[in-house]
Amino acid sequence: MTDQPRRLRLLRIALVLALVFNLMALLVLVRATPILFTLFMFLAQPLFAAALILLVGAVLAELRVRRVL
Amino acid sequence: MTFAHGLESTTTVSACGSCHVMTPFVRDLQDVKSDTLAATHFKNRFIRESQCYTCHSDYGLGGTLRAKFAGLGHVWRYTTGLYEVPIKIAQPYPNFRCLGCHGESQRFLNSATMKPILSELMSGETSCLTCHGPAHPEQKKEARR
Repeated sequence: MTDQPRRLRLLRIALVLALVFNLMALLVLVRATPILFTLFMFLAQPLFAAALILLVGAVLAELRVRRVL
Repeated sequence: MTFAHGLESTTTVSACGSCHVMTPFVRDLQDVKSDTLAATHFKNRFIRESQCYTCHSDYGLGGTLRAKFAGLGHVWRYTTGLYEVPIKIAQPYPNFRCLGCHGESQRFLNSATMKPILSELMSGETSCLTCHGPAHPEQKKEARR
């Protein structure tokens, strides 16, 4: 596997995680039950943090390839 | 935004009532014919909103944090089924939650009934619920889990 598809795959995973986060955030906004809010707190937010880390990782990798960093 | 909204929305009566074990308590709370302490506070608008949360959380930031952690425990026990019916309050109801509103009231402080036991009420030696209970109706043992 080349480096570029790996970076793309990381971006895709980050996108899916961010989508899951947004979906759960939307659910809490529409109907905030304690269970949904707990899921948002302990599942959706860590997923979003993971998405951000993956995104930063992919951007840094891209910058290194382009010899900007 | 969702975090703030969720934090606030989970203090509402409907949020507490979203778990079916709480249904009898919420139904009684909103019953205008009920004479329980909770229903009396609700129907007379002594507490305008988040009635369950107002009486079942301590005052201040520490109180909010403790209530949220306790709520987390409630969610865990509810989803895993690790609870027993009838639902009972975890610790004896503390007077300072009542006194948060009533404590500074002149009607309360100057009441002929309250004056002789005021120090006992303030120290928590005598529970407010001794005379003003029951706060909620008894939940039937055969209540559905």
